[in-house]
Amino acid sequence: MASHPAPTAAAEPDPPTASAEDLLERCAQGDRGAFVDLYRRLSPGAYGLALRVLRDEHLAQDALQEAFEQIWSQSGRYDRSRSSARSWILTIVHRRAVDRVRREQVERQGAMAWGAQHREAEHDVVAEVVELHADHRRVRAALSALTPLQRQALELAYHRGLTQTQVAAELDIPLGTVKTRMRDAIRRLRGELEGTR
Amino acid sequence: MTTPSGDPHDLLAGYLLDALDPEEEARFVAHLPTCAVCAAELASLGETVADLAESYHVVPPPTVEARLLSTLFPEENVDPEPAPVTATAERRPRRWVLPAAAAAAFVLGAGAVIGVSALRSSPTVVAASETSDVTTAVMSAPDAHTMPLDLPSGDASIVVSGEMDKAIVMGHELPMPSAGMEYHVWAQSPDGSMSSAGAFVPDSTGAIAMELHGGVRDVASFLITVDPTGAAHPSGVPIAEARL
Repeated sequence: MASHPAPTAAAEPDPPTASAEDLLERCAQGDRGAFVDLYRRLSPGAYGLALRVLRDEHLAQDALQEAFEQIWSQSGRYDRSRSSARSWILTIVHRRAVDRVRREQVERQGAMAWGAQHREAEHDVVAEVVELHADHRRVRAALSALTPLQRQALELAYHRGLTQTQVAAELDIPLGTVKTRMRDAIRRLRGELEGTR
Repeated sequence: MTTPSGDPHDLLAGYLLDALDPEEEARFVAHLPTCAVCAAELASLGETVADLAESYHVVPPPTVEARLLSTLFPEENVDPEPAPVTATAERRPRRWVLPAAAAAAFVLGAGAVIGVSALRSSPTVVAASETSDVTTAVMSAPDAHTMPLDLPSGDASIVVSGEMDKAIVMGHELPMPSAGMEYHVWAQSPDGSMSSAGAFVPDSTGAIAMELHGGVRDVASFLITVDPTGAAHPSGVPIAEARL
């Protein structure tokens, strides 16, 4: 945080150079300060994700809180040789949000009801999104290189929380096609993002 | 059409996107330790999905952090990064005062309490904080009008005096924003345009009493956000609003 006026480095509880992986491993040893630091570093991305999926501030805040409670209690399971801390944490946040969407879907009797009911809310929330974040433009540019059908598959599954089976039903296409489309979409996204790193 | 007995390699993308049905997920999780190809692909594409996940940044309201920490560490005063103390105030033994389960009930009570106190024009609402002459004068003005802010945690109100053409924000037990962030008050005019009416970080007890600038005659509502220090425009989702 270059603009943060820190008079002395010693006043910072964690050196800014501590990686998210370091912080997460310190959580596993019970370091609460590391947990707070990790939360402050990754919660804007995590909250943006939860808002994107849940389209409701209160639900998203609940999901964010539950996810970080789980992150604290399960930090001992994190293995840095298998994934980055960021990926591990965002996976938990996404899972929490999607679980919540699916519970709501069941309560509202139908996957589509949720989307219809929250379309306006989605508009509001996404309008407030901080678009100045550098990764946002980079990912948007990469997404624009996908085919519309690939983007749609990612949007329905990752951001609306539909299962592949539900996506196949909604689009009225075979499940195998959905699986192939999603795999191709992520691989292509990887290729595009690697080109801009 | 992939059948339930189909190739588990086809499930990788759905697994990464949390889009598998439970039986499929169980099948993929069982397959994963036996397949170095899938494990490597999972790690690589996992970073791609994390990029997708993290492409939208919205700073959560500070109340989430407060609730999180009071839930996880109810017995402790966790304050690894105390904000600069802006007023000489006695330090409270606990900063996170809200057990998550009690938060809703607390908020219901909060508006009423601060409303009554302000109707009596009592500056003791912000007892721990030093109050300037202006804030005291606005609170004591005959036409002082108090609008409680419905924050998820902590008490805060905006008090407006039309005669003085001034407003103040006051509150206590407000959660500390993250480093580099402040509470911002935005004045929205009837045509929807927004201008900054001030920004603050509460003192170490969570208290604030501050004059808002820009007057109140052309203000339709005040919005509260948590935004980076020095922000010229609101970017976060407003956490509370007071309509005049």
